[in-house]
Amino acid sequence: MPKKTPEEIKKEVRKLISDITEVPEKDLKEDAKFVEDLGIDSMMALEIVASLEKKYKVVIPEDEIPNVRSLANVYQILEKLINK
Amino acid sequence: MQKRYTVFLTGATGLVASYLLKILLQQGNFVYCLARSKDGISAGERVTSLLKFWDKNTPTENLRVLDGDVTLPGLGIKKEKEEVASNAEIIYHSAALAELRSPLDVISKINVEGTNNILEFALGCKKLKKLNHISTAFVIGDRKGVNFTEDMLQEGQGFYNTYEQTKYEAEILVKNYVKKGINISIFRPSMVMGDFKEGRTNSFRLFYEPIHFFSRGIYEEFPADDNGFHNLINIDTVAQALFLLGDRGEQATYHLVSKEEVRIKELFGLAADFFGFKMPKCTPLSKFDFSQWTPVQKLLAEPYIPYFNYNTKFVSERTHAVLKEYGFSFPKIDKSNLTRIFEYCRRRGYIK
Repeated sequence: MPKKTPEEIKKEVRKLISDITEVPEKDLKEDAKFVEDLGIDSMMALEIVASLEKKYKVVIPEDEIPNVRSLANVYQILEKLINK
Repeated sequence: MQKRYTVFLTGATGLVASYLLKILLQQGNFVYCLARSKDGISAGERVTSLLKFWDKNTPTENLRVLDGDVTLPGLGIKKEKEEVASNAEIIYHSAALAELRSPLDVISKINVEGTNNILEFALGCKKLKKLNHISTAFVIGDRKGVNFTEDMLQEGQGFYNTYEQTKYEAEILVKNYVKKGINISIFRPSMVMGDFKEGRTNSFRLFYEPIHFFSRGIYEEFPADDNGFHNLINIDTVAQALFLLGDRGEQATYHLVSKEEVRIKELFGLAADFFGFKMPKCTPLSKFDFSQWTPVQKLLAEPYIPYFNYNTKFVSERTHAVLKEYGFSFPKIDKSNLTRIFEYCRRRGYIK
């Protein structure tokens, strides 16, 4: 499978998060924190991460879970796992 | 309630008390609401916007919102404290954190200390006829397979989460204040969902959350007992029962629950058909292989697993008999009732 560019991943991730949370894609700024800025609760945040795992067929390691607090964190972790 | 009263209500920014507030105001009661301001939105705005959500024509001339907090000594209301204490005839205490993952110290502050503060406040209310404490049927905790009656509480149970535990502790506290002379009734709703007519709710929590994550196809297989069941109840009927029983003379505990449970398989099967997702394969908890799950899948599912393996019956004969005196009964949680709940989820875009 060809490697996805960071931009492609970001676009897909924004769409998926917007789908789950009903937060419009335009409000999903890169530095937006899930809980503080987007009003996403911990359950929703876990659902996002679990959906991303399924979509990209990756497993987020347990010790990375507490680090998933913003979109930027998600991009970082995914890029590392997808293009490994 | 048979008369119009001056009511003191907590929790009106939450699901149950916001609906109750609507009924209280529509029935001509004068209501003091204790609420917090949050995220730059004033207590008054939070309470009235929820009221309007339920019914934009709810009269508000008999509503006084007090910016305060059940966790603060004196409830954080300095100015109005004397006024409320002199006038309140009925108290409904519904303020609580209904959260399955909350650390004990955080949730305890609201659910236990908050209740304590309200009870202390009630001691000073000169005209008080009744304090109604909103609890939950889940105070029975992990006592599996029992028939949980209104008279039971301390059954040597453990708890699946800090919510159950702190609501239980609050009930114990309440019992102590009965001894101090306050006339108190306890109300234990089961799992509250949207209203009967349209499935409306302002809170897609608890019951809704597993449907949401199942709809994302996150799980192929889920630990669920084929014989497990949920007791579900519509928000409007819970609030109506609270209103009707709010000034009863006798002290009692009421189970605001449906007479019949819904089998978990049937419930989620209906949801799967409605939303068009594939229901995960249900495997008994004892045979479930958790190693198939990623750490995130485990964390996400954990709080809900006990309720997928739930077989405690909430007995409610006495409550239903009392409600019958008012010509009131809870509607059945059948396919058409649940379909309206699902339709509302779709209409609001909560589940696509």
